[in-house]
Amino acid sequence: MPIIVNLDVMLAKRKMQLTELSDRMGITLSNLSILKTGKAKAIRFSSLEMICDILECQPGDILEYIPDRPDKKG
Amino acid sequence: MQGQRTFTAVRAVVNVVYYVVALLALLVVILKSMAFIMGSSELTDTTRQLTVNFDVKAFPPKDTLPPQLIYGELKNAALEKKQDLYTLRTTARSPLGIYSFIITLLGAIAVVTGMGWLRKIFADTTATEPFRAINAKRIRNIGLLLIAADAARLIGYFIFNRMTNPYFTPYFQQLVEVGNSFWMGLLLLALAVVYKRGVEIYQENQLTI
Repeated sequence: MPIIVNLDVMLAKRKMQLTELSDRMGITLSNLSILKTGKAKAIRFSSLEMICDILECQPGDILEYIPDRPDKKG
Repeated sequence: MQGQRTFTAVRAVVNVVYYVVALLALLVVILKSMAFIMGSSELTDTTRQLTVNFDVKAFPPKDTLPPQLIYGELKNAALEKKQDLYTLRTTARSPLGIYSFIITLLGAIAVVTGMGWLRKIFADTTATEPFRAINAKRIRNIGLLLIAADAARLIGYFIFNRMTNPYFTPYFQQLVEVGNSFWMGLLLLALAVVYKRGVEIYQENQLTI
């Protein structure tokens, strides 16, 4: 998927553990792990809002769009 | 959770019905096999002899059999005695007996398999987590089994007529009910598609943070 989740980068910048984020957000650690590893299918605005609020960042700092490479032809 | 107790009760009932049906199917197959192995190959006394029976509807000339109508106190209603219903009796080792044995065996396998799938659907499902990908396949399989059962009945009807009618007068047909399983099967196939979509939405919801 071309949407990359940079949650681990932001956590490292804020020197925060995933467990602390999960405690402060009130979301289970397993669900946050799904988001961090890029296995999530979607993210709610409310969750994104909480992450941005706690990590003091913008949605663009968490999510990044990298287009898939076109298949080589020939 | 609401509906949890009903679900548990239905699951228990399905479990019991499965074992009862499996036991009955086994019993029928054993009895048919015993009749096939030990039964006489010649039809002697139909009143005492253990025979393989087929219900048939005969078509004699109409003028020979006038309908007998019994009128009761209910207005505009009459009880008609059916004159043209017969039972074709044959021995277990005759070609028709072998045909009946094969049909019974296939029917028993189909019923037990279908009930087994239904039992597994209930065993793998909970009221809190109703959507499982494997259950969509099981619902589809039960639907296909029901359609196949009706198709088999229809084919069996033609085989039976082909095996009997050249040798009998008046002409008769086996009494079979075709159609109900077909529609039920189609309904289950449609349900399987809806259920499969439900599984996809459920999985997507599970992966939404």
